[in-house]
Amino acid sequence: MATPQLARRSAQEPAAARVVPVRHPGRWVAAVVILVLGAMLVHSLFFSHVVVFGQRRERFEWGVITRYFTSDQVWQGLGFTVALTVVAMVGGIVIGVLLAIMRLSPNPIVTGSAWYYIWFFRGTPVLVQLLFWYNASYIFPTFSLGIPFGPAFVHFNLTTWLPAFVAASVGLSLNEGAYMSEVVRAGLISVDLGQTEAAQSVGMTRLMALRLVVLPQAMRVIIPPTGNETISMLKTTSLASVITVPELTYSVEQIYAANFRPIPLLMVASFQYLWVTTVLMVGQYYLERHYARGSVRQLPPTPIERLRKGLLIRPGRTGFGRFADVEGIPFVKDTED
Amino acid sequence: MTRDWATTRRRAVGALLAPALVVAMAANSYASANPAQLPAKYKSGLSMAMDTTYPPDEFIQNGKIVGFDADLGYAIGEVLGVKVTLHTVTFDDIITKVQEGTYDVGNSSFTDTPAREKKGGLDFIDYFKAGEGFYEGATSKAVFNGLKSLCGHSVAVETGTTEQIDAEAQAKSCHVSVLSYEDQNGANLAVLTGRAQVGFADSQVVAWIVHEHQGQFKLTGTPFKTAPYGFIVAKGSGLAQPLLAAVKALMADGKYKQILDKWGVEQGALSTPGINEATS
Repeated sequence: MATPQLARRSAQEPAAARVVPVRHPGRWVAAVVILVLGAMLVHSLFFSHVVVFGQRRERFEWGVITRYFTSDQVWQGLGFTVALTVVAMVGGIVIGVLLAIMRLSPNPIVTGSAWYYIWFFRGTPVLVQLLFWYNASYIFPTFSLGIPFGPAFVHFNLTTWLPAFVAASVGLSLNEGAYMSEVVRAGLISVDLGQTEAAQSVGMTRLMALRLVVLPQAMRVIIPPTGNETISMLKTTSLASVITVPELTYSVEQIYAANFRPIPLLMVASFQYLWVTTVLMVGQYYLERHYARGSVRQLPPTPIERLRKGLLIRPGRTGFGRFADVEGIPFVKDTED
Repeated sequence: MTRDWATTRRRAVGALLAPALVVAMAANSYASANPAQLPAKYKSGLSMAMDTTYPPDEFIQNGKIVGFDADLGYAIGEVLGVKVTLHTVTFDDIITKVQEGTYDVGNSSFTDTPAREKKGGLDFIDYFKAGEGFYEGATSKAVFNGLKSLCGHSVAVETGTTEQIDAEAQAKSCHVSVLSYEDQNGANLAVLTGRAQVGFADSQVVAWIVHEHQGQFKLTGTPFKTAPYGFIVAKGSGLAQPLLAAVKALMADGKYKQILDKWGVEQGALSTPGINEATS
C-alpha cells in the first residue's frame, strides 16, 4: 500500500459501511422442504382417496371418526377408563409408598417381603395379572377366611366378589404399586441423610421424620415420574378390555365389530386418549411448579404468563398495567398519548 | 362336381384341431373343468385367514392348524391347482383384512348374513350350514333354549360372531349381560369360572367344546337359526366363481362328504353351494 494514499484516507471520515444481513440459504431450503412435506401430510390426511378392489374411499374416513368421537358409547367408555386410571393410581401410590417405606426398614423380614412383592409384580406381565384376577375362581373356586389350615368362617365366591371392574382395579393397583414403590424409594433416598439425622436429633421418631421432613422434600423427585406413570396408566387400562371392562378400547371394539370399520374407530380411541393425556400433562406441569417453590429462586413463567408478556411489550399498548410487573418487566408507557 | 374349397378347408382344420382340443382339455382336467378361471395373480398361492380357536372347524393341534375348514381349504387348493397357506388371525379382524387384500380368503366359519353382505363389500361362497347353540357348566340347573331364554342371564360370546350380534340384539329388549372375548377360549373360561352362565357359539363347535372339556360342560337346548357358512372374498377380487366351482367339484367327487364325516359334522352338509345366499 502506498503511504500517501493511506495518509489521505486517514484524514477523512471512514465511509459508512454497507450493512448486509447474514444470508441463511440453508434455512430457506429447509423451510421450503418442510412446507412441502407438511402440505403432503395434510393432503394425505384429509384430501386423499384410496382404491381397493375397485372401491374408492377416503383414506382416513374422517366422517366415521367424527361421527363416533362424540357417541354415547365412547363417552361412557372414556368414563370407565378415567375411573379405572384414578382407582389404579390411588391404589398404586398408597401401596407404593407403603412398600418403599418397608424397603427402607431395618427389619429384614419387612424388607424381604417388600422385595418379593416387587419382584413378583414387576416380573409378570400386566395382562397376565389381569387375566389371573378375572379368572381367580378357576384357581380358588371358594375363597375362605378363617384359621390357617383350620376351619373357615367366611366363604367368598371370587366371581361374585370380583366383578370385571373390581378385578381390573385390583390387578392394576397391585401392579402399579410395585412400580410406584421404586419411584417413591428414589425420592426418599434423594433427600440428604442429614435431614433424617437432624429430625431424629430433635426427638422425632423415624416415622414422624419421614412424614414431616423427608417425604415433603422427596416430592420434588417423586412427582415427575408419578405424572409419567399416571399418563402411562391411562393407556394401560386398555388392557382391561380383555376382561370385558367396558372402558374406551372395549367400547370401540364393540362398535367396530358391528360396523366393520376398525381403523377409524381405533383412531377415535386414540384421539380420546390423546386429549386426556394433554390435560394430564398440563396438570403435571402445575403440580411440579407447586412443589418447586422453595427450591428455585424465581419460578419460571408459565406459558400463560409468557403469552401475556409477549402481548405486553409493544409500544402503544396500555390497559394491561396490572400484569406489567410480572417478572419485573418495566411498564412500557404509551409514548403517543 | 366342383369342390367347395372353403368347406374342405374348414373340414380339414376341424379334423386336425379336434384331437388337439380333446388332449388339451383332458390335460387341464380339474383346473379348467370350472368355467371360472383363477385370476393370474393368485396362481402363486392363496392365503386363507382363520381364527384357530374354534374346534372342530379350525383349531391348533400339535402346533398345526387342523379342522374341517382347514381340510376344505387345502382340498380347494388341490382342485384349483394352487398352494394354500392358512394363517391364524383374530376373528374380528379377518373381514377387514380380506377387504384390504392382506389375505385372499376368509375361511373361518363365517355365517352368511344379509347384514354382513351389505356392510362388507364381500362375497360369501356358501359351503356349509350351522346353527347356534348353547353350552353351560355341567352342574348348572338352568335350561337355555332360544334367544329369549337369555333374558336375565349373562352369556359369553366371541367378539365379531353372529352370536355376539344376536345376543346384543336380544339385550335391547330385555336385560342380558353380553360378555364378549377376543377368542373362543376366553368365552369358554368365562363359563367355567361362572362369569357367564351360558356360552353361545355355532352348534357343531359347542358340541366339540363340550366333548373336549371332558364333563365340565354340557349342552343345553337345541340349535337354532341355522344359516350357511361362507368363505369370504373381496368383491372384485375375481375369486368368487373359482371358489364356488372348486366347492362344487369337491361335492361332486365325494371329497366334501369325506372331510365332513372325518370331523363328525356331516349334519351341516350343504346340498348346493352358492354365492351370497343369506336369507336371514
